[in-house]
Amino acid sequence: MVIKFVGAFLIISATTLIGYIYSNIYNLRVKELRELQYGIQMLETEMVYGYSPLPEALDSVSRRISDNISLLFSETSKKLRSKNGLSVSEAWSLTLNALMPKTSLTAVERDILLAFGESLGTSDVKNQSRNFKLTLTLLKQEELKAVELRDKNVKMYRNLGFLFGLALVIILI
Amino acid sequence: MVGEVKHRRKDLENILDYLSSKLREILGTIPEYISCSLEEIRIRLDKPLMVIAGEKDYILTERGLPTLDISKAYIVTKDDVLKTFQLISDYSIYAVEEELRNGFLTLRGGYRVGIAGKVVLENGAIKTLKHVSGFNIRINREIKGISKRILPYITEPLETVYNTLIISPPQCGKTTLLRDIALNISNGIEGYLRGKKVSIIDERSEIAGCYMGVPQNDVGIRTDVIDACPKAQGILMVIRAMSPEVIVTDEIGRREDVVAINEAVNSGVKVITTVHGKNLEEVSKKPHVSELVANGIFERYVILSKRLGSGTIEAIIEGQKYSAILSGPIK
Repeated sequence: MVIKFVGAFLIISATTLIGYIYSNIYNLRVKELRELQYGIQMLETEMVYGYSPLPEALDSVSRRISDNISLLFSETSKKLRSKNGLSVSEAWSLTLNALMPKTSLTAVERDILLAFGESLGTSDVKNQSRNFKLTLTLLKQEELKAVELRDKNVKMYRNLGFLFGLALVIILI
Repeated sequence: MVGEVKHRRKDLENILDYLSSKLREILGTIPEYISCSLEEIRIRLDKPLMVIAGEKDYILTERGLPTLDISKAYIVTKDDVLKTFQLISDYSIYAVEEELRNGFLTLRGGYRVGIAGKVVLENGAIKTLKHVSGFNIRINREIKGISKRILPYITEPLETVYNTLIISPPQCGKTTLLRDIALNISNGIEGYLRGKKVSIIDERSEIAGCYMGVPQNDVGIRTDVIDACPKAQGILMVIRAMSPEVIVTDEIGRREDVVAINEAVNSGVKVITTVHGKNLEEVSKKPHVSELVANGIFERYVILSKRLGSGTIEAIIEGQKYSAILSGPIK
């Protein structure tokens, strides 16, 4: 009886945990999208108002944001600083593609970011400013979508995990 | 001379960092007899890659060897130009708009890159350059000691420096000479000349080769550099602020330059400067500058030519009776 009890408890906790982990993907996605926008905004300030050279601007941004997203900035900067003949868009897309699996970013964001990298640093202040605005608007839209999805799904997955565990226990008993 | 060769090799290596990987590969393998006297690297979109060394130009093949056959030449691609542009601007074209307006950038190490492209105008003034199509990377010659020969003619032991005008056609080494004069006057020469406070007004960033405001060429320990500043304004600025004993500036010619030089001389500051020209006669026909000559502002004229190679001294003329106190050519 005790063993059954313990077993049931374990099953339910396990499935609940899985539900939580699953729902967390949605949370993480929103967080990463926000972090990304935050970083790009800071980059804009560094470049458009501070006239910092791109590698420096990227470094300084990467130090002020967290997680995997900061790698996008710091790794690109590292590639540029090594002066191995890569263009900005090449360094940016290489870093981005390597980073994608480690984040919850989707193909939509990848395309937005690739387009962003395409003209990063390569034109005058006015055009850079435009590039930043466009990218931030697009990312904001993705964030709103992600928030909506999170609100819808987080509760569901959490409940689902618990209920699935419960159903399993009932069947097994 | 061996030191000089090594120096050039290092110059080339420093510059390679700023080129696209393809150009890097080609220029990294050019033969030593070219690299040791390298003066310019010319990169033009859709045109053969060229270098200028020892006053001759060489068209390069894909393997970095000189050729006379244009069909074998390496043709510069759009990718080369775009990547090189990103590298020389430190990936930050937005941050170098001011420099683009002047048509050149200065790299770390003091190398100057002239840029060709389409000019964008705003209200009749140059706003920026776009559709960049070519670069001229110049390796400036920092040859220490070349002014030693003429210093005794433009200075007197211990205290005196004369107002001096260097007259020279383009590419005869006047900036190189000017830089070395500034260095020697600033550092002083033991037992001969006390080191003096020198201010360099470096409108085209050529004398000191500043990178982010810091001189990349040795211009002496008592030297202040005002980089990228219009000469006339810069001269007035340093008279007020830096208490110079000697002002050094390059290529005078405009009305306001002349006014500023008069101002400097009247404040007891010595001026050493240069002007384009073949001889004193030609210069005394130039508008504005001729006034300075007629008013006897300059106490010495140094005339350069290329007769025995760049940096040949044709004559040094004393400014009161216009008599030659040294006649060349000497090198």
